[in-house]
Amino acid sequence: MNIAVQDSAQAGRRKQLVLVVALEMVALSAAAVAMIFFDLGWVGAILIALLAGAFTIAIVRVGEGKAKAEGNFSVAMGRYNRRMLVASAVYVVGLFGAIWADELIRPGGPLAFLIGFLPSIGVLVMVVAMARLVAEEEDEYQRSRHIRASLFGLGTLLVLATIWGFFEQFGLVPHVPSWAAVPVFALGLGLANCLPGRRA
Amino acid sequence: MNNRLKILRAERSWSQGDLADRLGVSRQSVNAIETGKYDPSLPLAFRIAELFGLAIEQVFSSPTQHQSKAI
Repeated sequence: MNIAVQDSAQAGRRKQLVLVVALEMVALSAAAVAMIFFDLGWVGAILIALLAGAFTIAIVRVGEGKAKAEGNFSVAMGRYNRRMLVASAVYVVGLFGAIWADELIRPGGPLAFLIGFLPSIGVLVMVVAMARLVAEEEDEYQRSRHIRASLFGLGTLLVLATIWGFFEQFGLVPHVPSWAAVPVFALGLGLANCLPGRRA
Repeated sequence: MNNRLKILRAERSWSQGDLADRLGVSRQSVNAIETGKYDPSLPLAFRIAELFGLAIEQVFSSPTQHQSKAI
């Protein structure tokens, strides 16, 4: 393919990705406003989860198309994307299932632990997907970037958890549940990919 | 580590994507190696040299060696 055609295809993919992300932000903001002002209940929450899921699938597809157009797509990254989509679906089902079961049967003893564990399953699948990505990535530069991003995410988590923990100890900030560890780690991963490239 | 990848590629009229395809790596990898952001592993460095039909030291050179020559 000639370079001008390649460049225009890549620019087209970039625009598509920006458009889908912008659409998702608008749609989810509108959904959040609707949740605040109207009592949408369970049906509303499930519809918003489905909407977020549909947009996530769209973003993954457009993102993969962009990576392929730029010659940066890897089989390992494709598998990672699929696993994360499955993990997200498992997480949503586990979370809604746990909330529903908790409200309906008010469990106690081991059953309460089992129900409390349900939302963790999807998150644990995400952690496994991240580990598999590093293990399966055959492109050594991409693998080094994944490792660097993971270390940055881990550093972000350690720094924030330490500072927040002591602030909490002195009653300066509210308590944050420990399940926030994975989202904070993921935030660090995302930040690492946005930082200007350093020598690997 | 310094390298002559960009020159060698240009001599053959290969794009970064062409070289990446021949090496079985991503275009980002080729770009990172060319711009000195990433030093390839020895196996990849040998693969690059073999692809161009050159010895590894004809493609890659030590930055300290470069500096001492300049001095």
